[in-house]
Amino acid sequence: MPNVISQRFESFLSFNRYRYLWVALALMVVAIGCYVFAPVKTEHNGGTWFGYTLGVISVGLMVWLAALGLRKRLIRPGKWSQKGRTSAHVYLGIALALIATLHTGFQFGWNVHTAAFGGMMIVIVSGFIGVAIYATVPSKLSENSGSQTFVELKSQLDQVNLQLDKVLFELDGPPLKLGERVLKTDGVLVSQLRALFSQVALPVFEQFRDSIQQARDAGAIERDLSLTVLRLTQSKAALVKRIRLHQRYKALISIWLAVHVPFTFFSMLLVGIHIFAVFYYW
Amino acid sequence: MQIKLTTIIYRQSGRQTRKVETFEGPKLSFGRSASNDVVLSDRSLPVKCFDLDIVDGVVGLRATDNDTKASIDGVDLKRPEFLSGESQAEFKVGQYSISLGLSSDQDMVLVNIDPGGSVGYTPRYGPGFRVRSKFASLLNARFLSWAGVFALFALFAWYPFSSEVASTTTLSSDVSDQAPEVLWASGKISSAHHNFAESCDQCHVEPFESVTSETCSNCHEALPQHASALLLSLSRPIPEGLDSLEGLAKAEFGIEEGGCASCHKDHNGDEGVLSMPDGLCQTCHEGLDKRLAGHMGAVGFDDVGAFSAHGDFKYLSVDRTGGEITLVRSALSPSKRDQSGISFSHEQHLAESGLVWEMAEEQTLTCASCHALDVSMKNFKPVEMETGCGGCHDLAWGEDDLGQVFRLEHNSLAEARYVLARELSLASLNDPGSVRPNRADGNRGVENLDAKVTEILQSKTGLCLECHESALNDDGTRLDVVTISDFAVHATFDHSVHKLEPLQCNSCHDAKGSTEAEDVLMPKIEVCSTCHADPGVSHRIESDCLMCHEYHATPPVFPKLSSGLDAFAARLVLEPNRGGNEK
Amino acid sequence: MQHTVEEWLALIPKAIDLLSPLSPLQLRDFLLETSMRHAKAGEVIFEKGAAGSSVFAVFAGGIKILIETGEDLLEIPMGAGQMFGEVGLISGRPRGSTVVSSESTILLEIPRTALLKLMLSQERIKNYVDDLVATRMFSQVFGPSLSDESKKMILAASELITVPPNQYLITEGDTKSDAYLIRSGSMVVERELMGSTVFVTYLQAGAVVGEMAALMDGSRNASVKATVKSEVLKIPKEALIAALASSDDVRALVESRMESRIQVNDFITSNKTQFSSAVEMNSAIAGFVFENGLGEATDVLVINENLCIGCDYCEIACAESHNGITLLNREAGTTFEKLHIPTSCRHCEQPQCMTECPPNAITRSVDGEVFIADTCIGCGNCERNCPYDVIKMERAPEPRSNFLSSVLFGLGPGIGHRDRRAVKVETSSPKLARKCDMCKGIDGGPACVRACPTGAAARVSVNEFINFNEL
Repeated sequence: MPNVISQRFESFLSFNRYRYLWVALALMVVAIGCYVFAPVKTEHNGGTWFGYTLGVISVGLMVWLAALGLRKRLIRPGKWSQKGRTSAHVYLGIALALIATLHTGFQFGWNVHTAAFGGMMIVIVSGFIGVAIYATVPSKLSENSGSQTFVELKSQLDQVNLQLDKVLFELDGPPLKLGERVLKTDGVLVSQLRALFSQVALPVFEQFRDSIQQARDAGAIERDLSLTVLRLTQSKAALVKRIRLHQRYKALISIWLAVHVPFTFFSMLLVGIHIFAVFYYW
Repeated sequence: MQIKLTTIIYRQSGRQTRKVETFEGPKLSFGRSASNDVVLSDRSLPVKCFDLDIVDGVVGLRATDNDTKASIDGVDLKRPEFLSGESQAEFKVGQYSISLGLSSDQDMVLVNIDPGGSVGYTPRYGPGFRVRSKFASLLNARFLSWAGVFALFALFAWYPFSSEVASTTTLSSDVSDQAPEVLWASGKISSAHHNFAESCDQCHVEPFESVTSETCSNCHEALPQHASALLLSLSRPIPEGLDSLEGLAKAEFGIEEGGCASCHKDHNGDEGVLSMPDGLCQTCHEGLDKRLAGHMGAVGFDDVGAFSAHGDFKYLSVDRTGGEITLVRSALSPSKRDQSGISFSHEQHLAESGLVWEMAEEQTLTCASCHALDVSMKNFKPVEMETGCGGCHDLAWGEDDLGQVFRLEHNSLAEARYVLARELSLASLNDPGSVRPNRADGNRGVENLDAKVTEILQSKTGLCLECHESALNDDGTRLDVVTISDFAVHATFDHSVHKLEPLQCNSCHDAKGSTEAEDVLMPKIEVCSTCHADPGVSHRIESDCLMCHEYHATPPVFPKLSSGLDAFAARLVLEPNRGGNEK
Repeated sequence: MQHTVEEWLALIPKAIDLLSPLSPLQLRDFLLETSMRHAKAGEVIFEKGAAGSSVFAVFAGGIKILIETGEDLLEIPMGAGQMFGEVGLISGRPRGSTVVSSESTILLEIPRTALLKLMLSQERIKNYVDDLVATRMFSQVFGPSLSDESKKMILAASELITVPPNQYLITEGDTKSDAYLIRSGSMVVERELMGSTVFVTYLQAGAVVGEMAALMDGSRNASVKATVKSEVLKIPKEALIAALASSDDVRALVESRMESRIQVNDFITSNKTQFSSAVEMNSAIAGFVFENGLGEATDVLVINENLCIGCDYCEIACAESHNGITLLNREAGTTFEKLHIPTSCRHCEQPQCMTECPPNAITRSVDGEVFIADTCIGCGNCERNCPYDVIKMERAPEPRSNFLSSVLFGLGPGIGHRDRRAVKVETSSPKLARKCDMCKGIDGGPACVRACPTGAAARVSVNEFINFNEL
């Protein structure tokens, strides 16, 4: 894209000349500096005054980061920018990973405290994956669907299915088998799994190539219809490929959230229990 | 033969019409595809179904599709059934009912086809192909969140909490580390406190209150105090800056200052209860000289912030200035001496020639000739006169009447005087001229017996003054020897761990250069720092306070000594309650 | 001054030339739609850049138009009987200069529609206004030193032409040598270079094109194509030369402008090989932009598909800001080179939706956005007239679901969605026209852009879109 227009758009990563990257870096440098130089009398852990300070900062950051979900839904007048919030969310999330790690003092065990930390780290790592996906997948999605919307692709598929169905009404033998095979739709789960993990092209076409050849030698009407089946199969294969790629990209864009969002709540719950346990056994 | 085909057509309006067609025989094909003469628009039927055949005026049906699964009721398509005469055949193909018959003049085959309803192509696929743009709803973040939150709450909150509340006072010896409470512990409990692992409330008595020293002392009774409460409170620096905030916060949250928990933290797993983390001593001892100025008499406190800031060692020694015998703790310096009252030259005893060498059968004595480690293997046993020195120094003072060498025992001065007096008196019995009966002092026979005894004792040949020159008083009645078994009363030193090549005794103790017993051969701290250094210094042994010092030690109380010790030799054994540093 | 209605009806046409052809009855009807306004000396009537569609006539007193030329501030005085503000009326563009009253003044403010109606019914008034607009444009193009005689001369010689969209006004290589003044609409200038069409610049109403060939006797060195239906004034070569000869200042101004254009042309030709890809790309984008009618847009939502994750929060934000009815369809619309123009109002310079609105409910606000007022009767004319399919007829919104129960438990239709179960409201309220109002009156500006989490959505005006100087 030429400079002229790309300048008009500013990604959440480069928001305000990377303002929140610098904020996060400053926060991290200060945290590391304090960790090294803070006059803590014992070894570092969550129980020193410095540990409590880091803990309070971490919990504040965590709640604020999680509130992104509320922020984006609370569409109210005002000078807020969701892009800026996302930018801060990404960079301060990285800072949180460091600050919370320093809060632990690298003391880990099989308990709720480490579970809270682990949950939080899963959130942050899945967030990294999310950023990577957000940076790469949208352009592929755009290339795949072009100017057509998903609904348009689906209605095209409906058309092909209908045509195929109509042709098959007067067909028999291998072309009919091919056609029926092509028309068969997967269940929701199967098709989604296929979209995610399997090859996107319809494999049936190759299988039936030979038998279709034979069918072409049959009578005139069947021959024409067989060719129509072939043509429709090909266009359906191309359409399904696009639809599946679309589904794959859409799934990639949202699937990491199935880890990121639940673990946000898990880690917040665990941090709550962690704080309760610390003060209960004060 | 002609074929007359009558087809019933069901209109959408519900009206039925008939379509009549006439075909010239002899063959009529039936099937689903448009290439048939009669199109049977039923998806269940094959493209080509069967042929109606007229052979020699006989009407038959012949299947054209061997694969067909469509059954034609009552008609065997393999064996053509012939219609003749007035016979009629009726059968169903798919949804079609077909009846065959011959016209009355046998000239025409009549075929009636009843589709049984409207026929033709009907789409199987309505709009709305099942494709979803969103991924499977099982991965719905809200659903997963709620499910996981409930599960995790049960595991990490309800499970430990409910079992903690239920198991309040049971103390079981069979404790597993998999107890639910472990989930809330910040770490594995130490083996010492292992029995409490399932009942947190043994130590954490009240929820939301920190563990108090009082709770600890339920088990750990009568631990020696580091210092008096007054001294402890005075020695703590007045917090400034961040520390004052910490102090305020601790006060706000009800955390004991200076209690057990200030130094001891459990839940460190196999490391056990951590005592005294690095640097905690320094909170008080750094700048303690100023905060506790005036306390601890002339010696005072040092300003110790680290090993490297450790001042000269202070040692306990006997001081006889002004005739008073006192115990003094002071820094090592050449002018101060340990005036124990013993005369001894390490140099002489370790010389490779001379009197001692000759007496030892021309062998050089070693340190081990006199010094041996005690049972603790840390310190040395006191050198006993009888076993240590007695081999050479035998306190012989003459021969008895049988010509045997008479030796004094090294028990006490009074005993020595008594034995001497007794021997002198016995000797005088053999000398009748010297007998003076009925003496008021009870010592029969010998005149000026005490003076004579004193004279013997003060003789330098082989008796007391050989070693106790300065300790025996003028009239020979008192021998003020005070030896100290432990010079460093506030520290422990483990000799056994220092028996490492190439370390020898003389690596630290300059015994060969010492000609007088007053020399204190304890090394200076510089000697230690050739190997020891603050934690963090590389290529040195990391040495914190607790390596040599013990926190829970009763400060030694020094007995008041004065001139006129009523003892032949008072050995001052100062054994403060000191178990050594377990760590 | 106390006058009766009759006296006023006699006074006004005398004072204002424009209204002199009207009969008293027509005048009475017309005046009902206008308003009289008094301005104190020094009062600002309107400011440069403001959106406004009404035309003013000076009844008594005087005003001055402040024109910035470089660093100088030029004041053009106008006395009683004269009209101003008419350029904005014709072109749909924002006000070109600030107008301040120079003394205590009485103004007649004429709504755009009222004047248009008058122009349709009265040939003389239409000519009067057209001539006035053209004359004013001449002043803008040729500078203030162009004499009134020259203006009249050019006006008399020139001819009004309507150019349909995508039709060429000037073809490169052509030897015709007339100049054109764009009265309304917009045009693009293109050049044929090494077999491909290169976009040169974008022209809006008020610009003169083709004067180079007219003055330099050469063939056309670029093509000019209308992007939307445009009106141009054809100025014959002779009239132009005569006008330039009349004043040295005018000549200098035109020549200096030509100078810079020649430089740009030379730049493109000489650097073509180096910058070919960038130039071609820019041309391609320009083509896309104008094909999609963005040439007449003043503000359009553009989505960068390199950044768009398809979360549809722009739509949700739109619905949240407009009572649960989203006025944009993100997925629909055209895409070019990762630039996606969703189906959303472009706030055209001359909105076709306005043309047949019976209650006159569609207006342009002072900030430039075209919006539908509450007076909409739901006739659906605007929906049919909109070439870009961005006006929807929708019933009144339903009650929304509770925010917390929606977020926590997914209850209710969710944010940005209508509750389909609320059938009662669906059937009882009329369908009214709804379109993007650029979140008019909402603090923070368009919610679609604010709510975009990745920065994929931006609102741009076509000038930003195609900026030749950035090449």
